[in-house]
Amino acid sequence: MAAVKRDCLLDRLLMPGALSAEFQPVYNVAGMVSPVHYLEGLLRGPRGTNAERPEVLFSYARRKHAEVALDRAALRTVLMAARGIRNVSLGINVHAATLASDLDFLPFLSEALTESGTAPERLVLELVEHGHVWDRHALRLNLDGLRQIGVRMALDDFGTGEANYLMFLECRPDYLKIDRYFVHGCHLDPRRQAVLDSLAGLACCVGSRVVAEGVEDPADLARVRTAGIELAQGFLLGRPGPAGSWPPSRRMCS
Amino acid sequence: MPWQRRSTPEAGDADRSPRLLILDDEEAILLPLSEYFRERGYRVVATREPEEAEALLDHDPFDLVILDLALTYFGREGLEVLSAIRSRSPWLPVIVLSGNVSPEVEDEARRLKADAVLMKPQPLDVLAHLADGLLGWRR
Repeated sequence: MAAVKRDCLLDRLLMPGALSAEFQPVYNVAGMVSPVHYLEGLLRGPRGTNAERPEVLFSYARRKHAEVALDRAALRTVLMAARGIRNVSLGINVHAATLASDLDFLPFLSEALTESGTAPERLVLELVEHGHVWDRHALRLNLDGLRQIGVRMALDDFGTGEANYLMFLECRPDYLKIDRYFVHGCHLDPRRQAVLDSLAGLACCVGSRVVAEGVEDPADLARVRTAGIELAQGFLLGRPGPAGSWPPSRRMCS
Repeated sequence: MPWQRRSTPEAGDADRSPRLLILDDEEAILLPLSEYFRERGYRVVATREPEEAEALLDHDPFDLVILDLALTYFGREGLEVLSAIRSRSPWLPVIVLSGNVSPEVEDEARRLKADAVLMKPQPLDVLAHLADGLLGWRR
């Protein structure tokens, strides 16, 4: 008897329209008024499924060995959702492992950018990593190609997991996004403050800009500023929202 | 003390209710099993796919897992999932349901410290009694 073909969650995830996106701003908090520096597009899985939350969604895709397919679908989803958003850069997550294994990534991205009417100079690719990147040569090739067309790079969740100094040297990121683990509660913790000060200094030395992630407390924000960190993101400043909610009715003030 | 039994979960009790993950590739079993435990006040997350179950276990704290041992449709065996659960959560209670599997596979499930290995089908109240007991024992 022939085996019954069952649809799996992955098939449903990759169907057109299954994924959606929300956008969370990264603010420049250096001055009295905090303008938006760029908007990060955040992927959402199909509503009502176990994979609605992005962390479960990507964990599932990794286990199905479908990171490349999901990263591509995520890029296309965020770019298409952001078509109505103008005059602000867009951050989109992509796995470093995808850039190290998808040799057709650059033509794919160029096509997706054209299709959505997004200039490459508006794009910040935020590299996330949960596993070891084995083929650094392929990673470098893709990164060089992306830079040549004007795409900027960010290293996401820096300081945890595989987002480490090796990746910092390999990626030469324009932005270093410090994981919320080091930001949350920093105003009370001298060790976290030392990490922030150190990373701000490191980024300054190589011309990268630092983004403090997960800012939820005014006192933490004040300490982030003291470290000389100009860019920040978190619920205190702005929660994720649909593309239609952009631009917000009220600008954040310091 | 076992978890309190109630016909419907009360508002405000959700955070105290035990979290149950059910993995079974047969919807005819998965759906009534989920509904039954929900009615008993459990917070149930149900899935047919091993990778989905493991992704959920990566990010959510569960109090109990009910696992089908013969996940033939997705090309993986329940033993693999049980082994993965044990490598990350040695103390998480796991009830294994076995259908058309050999005694050797059942023995392997016991070796992997399944808390109970039951033949399918089982009366729902037997399963519930076992689940309540395991959670009460662990509290």
